[in-house]
Amino acid sequence: MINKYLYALILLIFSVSIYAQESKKDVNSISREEVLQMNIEELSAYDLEEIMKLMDIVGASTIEELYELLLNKDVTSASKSEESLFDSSLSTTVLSYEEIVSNGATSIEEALKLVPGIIIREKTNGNYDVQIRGGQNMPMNNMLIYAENTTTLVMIDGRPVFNYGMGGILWETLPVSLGELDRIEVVRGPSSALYGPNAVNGVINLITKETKSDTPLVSANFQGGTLNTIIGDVSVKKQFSNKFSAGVSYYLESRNRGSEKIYAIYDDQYYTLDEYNDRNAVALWDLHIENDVYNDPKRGKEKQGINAYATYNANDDLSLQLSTGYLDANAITSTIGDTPSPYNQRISYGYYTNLTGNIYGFNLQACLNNTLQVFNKKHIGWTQETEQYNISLDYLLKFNKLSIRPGLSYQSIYYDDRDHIENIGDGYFNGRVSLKNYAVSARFDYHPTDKLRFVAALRDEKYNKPDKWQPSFQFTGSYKINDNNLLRAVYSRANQSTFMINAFSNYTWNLEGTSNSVDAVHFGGSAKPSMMIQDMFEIGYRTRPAKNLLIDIEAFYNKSKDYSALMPDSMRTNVAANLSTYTTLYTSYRDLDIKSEQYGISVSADMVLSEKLLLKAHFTYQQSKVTDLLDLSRNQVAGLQGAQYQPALTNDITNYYLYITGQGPYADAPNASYSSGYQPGESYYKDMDNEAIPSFWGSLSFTYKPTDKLDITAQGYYYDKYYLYSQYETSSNRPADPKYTGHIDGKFSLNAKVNYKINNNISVFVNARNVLNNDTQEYVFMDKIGGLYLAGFNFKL
Amino acid sequence: MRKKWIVLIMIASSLSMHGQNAMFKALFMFNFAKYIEWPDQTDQKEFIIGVLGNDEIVSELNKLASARKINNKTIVIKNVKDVKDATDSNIFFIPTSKSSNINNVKTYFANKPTLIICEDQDACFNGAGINYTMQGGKMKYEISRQNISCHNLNVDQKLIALGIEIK
Repeated sequence: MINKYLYALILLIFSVSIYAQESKKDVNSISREEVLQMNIEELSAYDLEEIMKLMDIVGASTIEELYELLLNKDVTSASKSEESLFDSSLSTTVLSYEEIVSNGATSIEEALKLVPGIIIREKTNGNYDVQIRGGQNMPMNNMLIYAENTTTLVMIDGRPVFNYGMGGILWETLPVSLGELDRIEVVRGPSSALYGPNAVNGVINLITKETKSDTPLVSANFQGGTLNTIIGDVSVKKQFSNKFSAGVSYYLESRNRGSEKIYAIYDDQYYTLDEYNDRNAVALWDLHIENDVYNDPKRGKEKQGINAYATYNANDDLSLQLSTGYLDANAITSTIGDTPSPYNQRISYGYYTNLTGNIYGFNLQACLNNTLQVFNKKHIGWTQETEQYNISLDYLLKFNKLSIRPGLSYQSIYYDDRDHIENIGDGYFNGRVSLKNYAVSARFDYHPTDKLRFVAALRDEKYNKPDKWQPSFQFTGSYKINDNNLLRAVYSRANQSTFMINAFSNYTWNLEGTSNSVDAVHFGGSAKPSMMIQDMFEIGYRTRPAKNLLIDIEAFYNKSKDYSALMPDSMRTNVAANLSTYTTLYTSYRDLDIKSEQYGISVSADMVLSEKLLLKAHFTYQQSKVTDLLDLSRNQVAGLQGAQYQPALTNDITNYYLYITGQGPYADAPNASYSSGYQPGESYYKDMDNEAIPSFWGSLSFTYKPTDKLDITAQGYYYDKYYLYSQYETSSNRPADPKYTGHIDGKFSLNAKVNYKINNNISVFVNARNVLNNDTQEYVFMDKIGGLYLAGFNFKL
Repeated sequence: MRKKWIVLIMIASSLSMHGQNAMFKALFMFNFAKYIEWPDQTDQKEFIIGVLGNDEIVSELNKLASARKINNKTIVIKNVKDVKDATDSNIFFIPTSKSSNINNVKTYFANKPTLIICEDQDACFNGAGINYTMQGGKMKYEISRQNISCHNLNVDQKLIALGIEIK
C-alpha cells in the first residue's frame, strides 16, 4: 500500500517536473528573474518573436549595452558637434554620471581622478588642486598663486566659469552639483581655437542632464559621514509636453577640515587660531588683518545653491535651453597672496543665467554671471563685485566631404571693489575695471576618404588688455585604420588671457610696524601684460583590440612662453625730517623670459570584463623643465635692490645724526629718498626641472556587480612625489631646517563604495574615501588628508 | 606600482567576457532555420551548422544541438578553421573576428543551399544572408532576401518582418 502511494507520488512529481520543463511561460507576464533562470534548452521552446520579447525583458544585451555605455561614448566638446569618442581626433575623455556615481566621488574634482592626464591633490576636505597634465608653478620662486592651475577652461553646459580675477578655477564657486550632471567631457591639449583663451592645457565641460519623458519627477541624493560632511541634492523635473520641460534643483555641501589648525609659514608650525594670533602678536608677521579671519577655522567648505532649468523645443529648427541659479559658497583653502599663513577663506555668492539655443542652424550661447567674490577674507580690499557676459554664435555648413563652422564670440568681465572699501586706495583695484575680448573663428572638418580626416580650427581674438589680436589654432589629422584602430596627430596653439591682477593691480599692502623689512609693498598692473602661449604637438592611438576593451594612448610635447609674474620693479626708502624711514617695495606684473617645456604620455584602458566586472585604468608619465628661470625669489630680488643703496643710506643718516648731536664733523642731511631699480643679471638665471607636478600618477578601478542589486567599486589612486618650489623655500624668516617644505611624498589612496539597490526607486550605500586612512599632506603647506567615511542614499520617483 | 598595474591589466585582458549574448545569438540562429524553406535533402540526416574559427557561440550551439532538432534532423556543429571543412553546412556562421573571410565563404557556398550568417558592419552588402547587429544597445538582425534566395533558399516573410531588411 505504502509502495503504491510512493509510486504514485514519484510519478506525480516526475509528471509535474516534465510539465514544468515543457510548459512555456507567457512572455507577456514572465518576470526578468524567471527569464534569467532559464537555460538555453528551455529558451529554445520559444519562437523568434518571443525570444526577442524575452531579450527586451531581460535586457539580453546587457553586456552590449555596457559596451555602448562605457566603450562607445559620444562627445561634443572635441568638435562642438556630437561625434563618436573613438573618432575624436583630440585627446578626449567622457565620464558618465553612472561612472561617477559608481565610483563614489564626493565632488566634481574628485570624480576627475578617473580621467587620464588629470591630477588631483586635496588641500582641505573638499577643496582640491586640479591640473591637466601640468606645467604649473610658473614661475617658481614666487607666491603659491603661481602653483594654481590657470590654464584649464572649465565650462558648465558650455558656459565658461573661469575666474578672471587672478586666473584659474574657484571650484567651490561652480553652481552645479554632481547629481545634476549627465557627464563630464574633458579635452586635453590647447583648445583656444575652439573655446577661446585659457583653454591652454585643456577644457573640462560639465554637462547637465536633459529633462526627457523618462526623467524621474523627483530625484534626490544624500550622503553624510565623518568630518561633519553632508552632501546632497534634490531635483524636481518634468517634461510637460514634447516641446516644453522644466526643473529645479537644490544642492548642499558642507564639510569640516581634518584639523582646525592653520600653518604658520615663518614658525613652521601648525597652530590653533588662538595660538596663531598669540604668536603673531609677538612675532609681528602681519598686523593689518581683519579680526574675523575665518568664519570658522574648522569648516573646510560650505556650499549651497539652487538652479532652475527650462527647455523649449518648438520644432527641429528652433530649440532653446535656459538655466539660471544662485550660489552661496565659502572655502578654506590655500591663499592667493603672500601672507604668513597659507590658509585663506574665500567667500562667494551670486547668480548666473545661461541661454543656449539652436535657431535655424545657428548655435547661440548667451550667459551672464554676477557674483560677489571675497578672494581673501583676511585683508580689506580683496572683495570684488564681479560681472561676466559671454555671447557666442556659430553655424555649421555641411558640404559633401567638408563641414565648416564659422563663429563669433564676445566676452566682457567687470570687477569693482569700490563699495567694499572705505577709501579709494584701500582696495586692490580701487575702481571698476574691465577685460574685454571678441573673436572670429572657423573650424574646417574635411573627410577626403572614409578613413582620413583633417581638421583645422582657427581663431583670432582681439583683447583690450593688451590691445592686440592674438591668433590660436588647432590642426589635427586622423587615420582610421579600421573600425577598431585610429591614429591621430595634433598641432595646436593656445593662449592665456590677461587676468585682472596682471592689468589692474593697484594695491598697497601695509606692513608698517611688522617684522618685515619693508613698510609697504605696492602691487601694480601692467599696461601691456603679456599672455602666455603654448604650442603642443601630440600623437595618439586609440584601439579596440577586443570589443570589450578600449585603449587610448597619447604622447604629447608642449612648449610655453610669454609668462608674466609679480616681480620687484624697485625699492624706495623715504627719509623724514626726524630721520625715520619708510620703505616701499614696488612690484608689478613684469614680462618674463622664462620658457617651459613638457613631454609626457597618458595611457588609459576601459574594459568590460563581464556584465559583472568592469575595469577602468589610466596613468600619466611626464617631465617638465624650465629655461631662463630667475633663480631668486621676489624677496631676494628686493633684498638686492635694497642692498644697492642701503650702505649709503645708513652712512648718510648716521653721519648726519652724529653731526646734529655734536658727536661728529659736519655732514650733509640725507636725501629725502633713496631708491634702486636693480634687476639681476644673466648670472642669476638658470635652467632646471619643474617638479611641481609628479612625474607619474594614475588610477585603477574595478566595479563588481555580483547581483543586479549590489554594486561594489574600488579605486586605487596614486601620484608620485613632487616638489612645489615657492618663495617660502628660501625665506630667511623660516627655520634653517623646516619640517614642512614644498617636498611632498607620493601617496596611494584607496576608495571604495558599496551600493545596494533596494528597488527601482531607492539605493543605499556606504562610501569610503581613502579607506586606509593614509593620513599625509597632499598639497604643500595644507591639511593632512585622511579617510572620509560616508553613508547615504539615492532616490528617484 | 606601475608594474603591478600593467600585470593587473594583462590579467584582466585575458579574462573572457560573459556568454549571455552568445546564447541569444545561438537561439536566433536556431529559430532562423525554422523560417527557411530548405530543399529536400532526405539523404542528409543531419542539420549542419558550420562556425568559422573559435567563438563562444559554439558552446551554446552544442547545448542546443544536444536538446533540439531542426526539421527532425540532428543538429551537428562543425567548428572549422577553413570553410572547406564544413562542406555541407546548412548554416554557416562567420564571427566578427573572421569577418574578412566573407568573400571566400560566399564564393565557396555559391549556388549551394547554405544560409550565411555574419556579425559585421555592412555584411549583407557583401553577401551575408543574415547579419547580427547592435542598435541602441540591443541585438537585432539585418536580412537580405536576395542573398538568401541566390542560395536557392526561400525565406518566410515573417523572418524578414522581424528583422531589418537590407535591399
